[in-house]
Amino acid sequence: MNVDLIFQIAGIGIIVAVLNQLLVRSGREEQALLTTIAGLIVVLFIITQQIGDLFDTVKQIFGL
Amino acid sequence: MIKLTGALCIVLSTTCIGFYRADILKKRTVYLKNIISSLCMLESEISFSQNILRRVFIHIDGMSDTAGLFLKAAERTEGQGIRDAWKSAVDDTAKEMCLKRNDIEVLYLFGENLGMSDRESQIKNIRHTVDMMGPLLDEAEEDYKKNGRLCRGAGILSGLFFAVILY
Repeated sequence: MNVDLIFQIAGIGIIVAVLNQLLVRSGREEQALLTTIAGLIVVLFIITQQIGDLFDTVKQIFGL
Repeated sequence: MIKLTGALCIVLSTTCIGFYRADILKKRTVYLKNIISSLCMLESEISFSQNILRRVFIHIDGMSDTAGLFLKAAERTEGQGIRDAWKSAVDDTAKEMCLKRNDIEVLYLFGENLGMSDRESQIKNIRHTVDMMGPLLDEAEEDYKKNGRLCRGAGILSGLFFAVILY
């Protein structure tokens, strides 16, 4: 398991949270929401491989 | 080491972009204030002195920083009429003063009536222009207050974001 991935996702999470707060305080709630969604999509792209591996492992365990 | 240098370059460049955008908003407020004070000085000069407009413009340009707007207008009155000289001076200096379309339109309107009538009408024209610029200055200050911190923060954070994704 690549620990760097966890740090990367944590870093992205913190940055998106701070950016979200900054945008909300400037009165730009829609852009804050878009930023959060964009951050979520980026993280999902990063962990696509791991999600694929997870599903393969689940299939193997249950013999599906 | 190279990765770290690259990440640092990305963060620095986005931070600079953010600070530059915030600086543009700040400059607009500063220059609008200076234009308003210059117009008030122009009103005083027209009210109390007998100088020609060209000399008054040169004098005002030395008293307040308006990116050379009044000096350029004074220099161009020799070749063109005062209206065209003012308009071309505004066109040349608007970008440096980071003025928006509305601000430029007000300055154009001021130039339309410049040097066209008697002293009292000129003073009324100046006061009318100052009244129109008041709300524009308020809007610019509100804009800077709302978006200045956002631009700076967003610059730094977006740099960190790209650095984390790429590395």
